[in-house]
Amino acid sequence: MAAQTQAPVAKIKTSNRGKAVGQSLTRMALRRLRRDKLTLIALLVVMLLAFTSYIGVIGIDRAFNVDPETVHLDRTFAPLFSGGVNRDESSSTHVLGTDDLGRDHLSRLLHAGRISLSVGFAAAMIALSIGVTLGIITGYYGGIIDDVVNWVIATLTSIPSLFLLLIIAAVMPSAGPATLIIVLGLLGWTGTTRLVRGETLSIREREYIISARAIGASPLRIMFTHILPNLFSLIIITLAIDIGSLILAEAALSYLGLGIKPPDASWGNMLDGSQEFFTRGIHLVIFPGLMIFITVLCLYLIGDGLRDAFDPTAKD
Amino acid sequence: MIKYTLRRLIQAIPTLFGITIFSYLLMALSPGGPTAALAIDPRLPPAVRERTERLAGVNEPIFVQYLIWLTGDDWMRVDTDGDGKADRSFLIDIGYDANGDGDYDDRELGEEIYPPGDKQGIIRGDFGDSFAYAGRDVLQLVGERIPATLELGISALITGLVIGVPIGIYAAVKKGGWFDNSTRILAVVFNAIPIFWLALILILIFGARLDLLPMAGRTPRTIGTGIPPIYERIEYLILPTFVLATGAIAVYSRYMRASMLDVINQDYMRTAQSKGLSTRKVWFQHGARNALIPLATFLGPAITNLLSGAAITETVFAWPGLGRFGVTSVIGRDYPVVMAVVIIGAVATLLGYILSDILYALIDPRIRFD
Repeated sequence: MAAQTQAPVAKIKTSNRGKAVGQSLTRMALRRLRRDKLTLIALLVVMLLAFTSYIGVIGIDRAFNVDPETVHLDRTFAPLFSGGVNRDESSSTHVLGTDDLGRDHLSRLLHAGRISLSVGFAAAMIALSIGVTLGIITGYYGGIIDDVVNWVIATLTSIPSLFLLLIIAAVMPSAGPATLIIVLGLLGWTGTTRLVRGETLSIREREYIISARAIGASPLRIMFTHILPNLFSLIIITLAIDIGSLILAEAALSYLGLGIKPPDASWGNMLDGSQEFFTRGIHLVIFPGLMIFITVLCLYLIGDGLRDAFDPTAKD
Repeated sequence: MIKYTLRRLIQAIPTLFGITIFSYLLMALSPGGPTAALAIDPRLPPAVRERTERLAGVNEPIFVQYLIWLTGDDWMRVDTDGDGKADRSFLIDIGYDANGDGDYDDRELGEEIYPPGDKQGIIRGDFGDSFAYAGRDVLQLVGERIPATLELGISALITGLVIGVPIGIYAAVKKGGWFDNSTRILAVVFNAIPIFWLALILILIFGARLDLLPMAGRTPRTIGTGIPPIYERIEYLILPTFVLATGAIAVYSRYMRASMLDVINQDYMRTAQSKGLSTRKVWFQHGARNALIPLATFLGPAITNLLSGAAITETVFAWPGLGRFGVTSVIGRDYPVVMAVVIIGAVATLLGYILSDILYALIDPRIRFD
């Protein structure tokens, strides 16, 4: 049987002290991750960004007496670390300056981060759920379901993805974060399905699946208690990379005016029209893009790091 | 070979149908979709209104509407005796007359015969008229923008190959060295950078600050219709080409490196080495040439990526191509144009995939056609 050669997942490691220690793939991966500085830094940065956007922003808004919505026409395009006295005599500090309407840039960036991160994460979860479910089912059953799903995938992937997103975004009756999440999620599953389907095809021929089938386990049980756990590493790698790509997609759509719409801030729509700010406030061009870039870069690095860590053929 | 090509073309037909069904449904089911946008005046007398709607086919079942859009209605409502009135029909009404010719579904309408259908359907290249450009033929509008997109797309593809491939080869030769590591980082960076932002930053630096390159557009000439030859406006091409090529550079350099590392372990490389050939000859003549073969499979995905990227790049740089046209038409809800852009893009992608499969089979002697 061909499957025999690909079966070993756990390794026996002989430590210096001469004891043989059996380790699961997950434990080995965690150990490798602990030594992978770049991935750890990326993880830390993403966590910090998420924390600041969701929780820290409340404190920051209060400390500098700013909020993302208030318009200050007396200080548009204010430079970094400038201040101003508000109508109610209180004073505000604009750490990253203000935008074309005098709104605080830092506060907007962080509130935008909340939306961009949420959209990316939620859409990735939807895409992943659809992708994994369809991948397992098509890989396990094959036949007509497989053909139909493959046809849908071939159709969706041959339409340039941004055009597809554009049409759907334009067609959607209401444009809010929730709509955008659904649209991105419903279109982003094709790659995952292909990957999971391929994995399932190879797992389904292994002995433990055959023996599970022999003792009468239902297909549902085999798919979700025997195959799914083996896809764990693939799933978290895909999740990290998908969140990154979907944040990029959301940013592009919002930049083109078809994603998150003002007054809600997202990193993409903050750059919309920023070409006009070249002479008056470069910070308005730099920071939103930098936020997208750093977030996506870190997520991709995490994905890469996880892939290396979970690689069963890698040597320590 | 011909058999293989034919088979691939036939396999593409269901996908093509999928694309038309999917995009039509999307458009037809959208609120304020193509039919609502016909803007039928509510003050029209009911009979005239009915007639207009009939001719536009908006009250037909969606399946019939799709069929009309796909194949046209000139074969559904036909005039056989040449009097300008339809007298034979298939699936759709032709009205009726006093002599009893035609289809009598709707007698309350009065004596009325519709003219024969004049739509040819997208299958024959009839995408209808644009809403935004005062009834101009969509295909003509799209056709005017294709050269600009091809110009940008081809130069980006060439740039991607010319930069990406050597980087990949060199990274593989010096595997694990600083060059390899930095190109690995470069590839991730190029993938993660939002291209519209990269475009903005480059415009800011090279256009607004240093004043070295134009900030947008395709040509310096604003008066007149002609486009000067490409060598007179090469500076307009530099920034958009680079921005559009970043994705390709990242992908090609990584892929070329992997492909090169695959090739290194082949027997013929060892043979070449043991024959006493110089290292340079072994790497480049025996290694790189074979490592290039799998790159042929990238043509299909490259076309989709370039078209998707073009939508953004062309918008930022005000490049008068298909991508920007698609974006403005989506925003302006010019549905016939959107449909045309999507379907042309999808067909180009499908052909790209088929072409790359055939190319791959042609170049690699290990692949057989049967």
